[in-house]
Amino acid sequence: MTKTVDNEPVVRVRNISKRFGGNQAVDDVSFDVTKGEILGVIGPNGCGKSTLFNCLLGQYRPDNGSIELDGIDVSDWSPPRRAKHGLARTFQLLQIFETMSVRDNLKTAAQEHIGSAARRLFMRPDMGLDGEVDDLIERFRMAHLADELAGNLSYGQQKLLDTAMALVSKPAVAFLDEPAGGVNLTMLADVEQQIRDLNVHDGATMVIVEHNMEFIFALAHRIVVMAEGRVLMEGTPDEVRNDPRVVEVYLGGH
Amino acid sequence: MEQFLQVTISGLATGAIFAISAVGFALLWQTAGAVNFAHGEFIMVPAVLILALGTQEPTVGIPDFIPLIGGANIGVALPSAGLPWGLLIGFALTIPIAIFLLGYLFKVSLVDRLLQPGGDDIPLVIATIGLGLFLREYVHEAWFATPQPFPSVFGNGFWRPGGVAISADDIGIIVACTIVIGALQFFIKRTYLGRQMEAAAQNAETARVLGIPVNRMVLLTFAINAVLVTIAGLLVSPAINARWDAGINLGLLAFTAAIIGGFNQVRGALYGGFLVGVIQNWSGAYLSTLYRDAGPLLLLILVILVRPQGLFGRAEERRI
Repeated sequence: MTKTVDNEPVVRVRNISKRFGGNQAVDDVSFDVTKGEILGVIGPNGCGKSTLFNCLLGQYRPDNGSIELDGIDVSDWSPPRRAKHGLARTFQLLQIFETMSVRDNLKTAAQEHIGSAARRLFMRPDMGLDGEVDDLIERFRMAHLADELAGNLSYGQQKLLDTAMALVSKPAVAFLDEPAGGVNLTMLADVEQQIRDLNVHDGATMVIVEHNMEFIFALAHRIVVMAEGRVLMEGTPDEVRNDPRVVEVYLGGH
Repeated sequence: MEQFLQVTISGLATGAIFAISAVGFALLWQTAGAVNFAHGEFIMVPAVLILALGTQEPTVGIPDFIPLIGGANIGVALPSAGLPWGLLIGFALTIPIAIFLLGYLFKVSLVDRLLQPGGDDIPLVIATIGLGLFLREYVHEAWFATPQPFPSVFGNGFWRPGGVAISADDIGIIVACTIVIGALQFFIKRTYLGRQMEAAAQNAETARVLGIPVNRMVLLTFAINAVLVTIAGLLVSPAINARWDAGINLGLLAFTAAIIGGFNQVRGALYGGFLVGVIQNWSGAYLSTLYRDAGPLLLLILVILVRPQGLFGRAEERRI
């Protein structure tokens, strides 16, 4: 695989900090997300990865710092507003609509990005999304499940659907929180393949938090390593793999 | 056999009304997590309003209860054409009032203040019990203490096919409720706004992340509930009259219907409503009229013991 990336930063994260009581969960974290790249975020449990996501996407209000999308400071925006302007995310725990079909889940995720709110009200019920949604379902090899209720899918399939929902609106950046978490080995290759495919063919930009090292080292162009709320280092997968500090953090004894 | 059919059909008609009331109740629970113990009064108040706004039929006048200018007849005579104009005008005028009072005002003044995310829902429960009491007593003191006759939109006709007495009112109610329920189901399952609403109801956090204005969706369900209770008030009152204490029984039965069916699903509340209506009529006809409401309550106890999520509901864990 060729890992080509141009250098235009689409998201700029600056000095994000978040404290819960006596616990500094995120401590002065800064990095850029470049257009078209897959940026991995790794670190031991409790190093603040999910808290960082929650700060960036508006679930938490950081104590300090800012996030810029295409040069615009979005730090004070509500989560729906950030979503509409191209910041999508998944959560560590599955967040799908269980009593909707797979197709309706994807439609629900995609429909907010069409036209103006007033125009959407008077559109056909499928919002002209059927083609696009079916396309994505096809690519995720879920065509036979399109009309199945999402609650009836296997965990791996639900995880895949979750990821597809974050990406169906073609966001500027998709923040994926452990897309491989809990997925069995046979499905794992699938998830990896779909994510790579979306990146290579559609130019999807992604920030991925992941515990599965093989998975993230194979996918990411760059990796940010976090420890105790701070950025420990940042580099290519090879640089990260060979850095003694990373080894130390992961083998304990920091 | 004739009697059985008769009793069942009128049970279905009553049940249809319970169904739309229970659906409104269920919608508020699903989207806002709000349990409304004033739900019965929410059906009674629009009924009283319809009567107050529409009694000077067939002319449009200013109703008596408006201070100073009340009772003045601005007198637009309407062609009768066999339609109960006063009732329909009263209904049309009540809808926006209900949406404002029972939808918007209820949400911003009580629900939003008392129901904090992740908080306790007991304050709201107590507040709605109080609200119900207030509405009841207000109508009793300020409007009328004796039950007022309430005409049916569908007239007083009767058919007797094969000896089974079927009233136009019952058939009209069943048809009207079926249309309302069908439209609501279509709206929720097949339209853009409906999908937004269902998404907000199922998982507010994800809905927000997808760009859905969750708060606006919740407000929309309150408005839909206000319309549903107004329709329920219009349809149920010919049988029980417009009365200040109608809400006690209606609220109890709508609540029973929602629990029996399972009120985390619109479908559950729907079936629960029909079931309660039919069983209520059966126990009234075959046990004793004194036991009319005992049948549904027995079923309620059974359901709570055996299948607490409701006959058609999904089991759900309480998040703490």
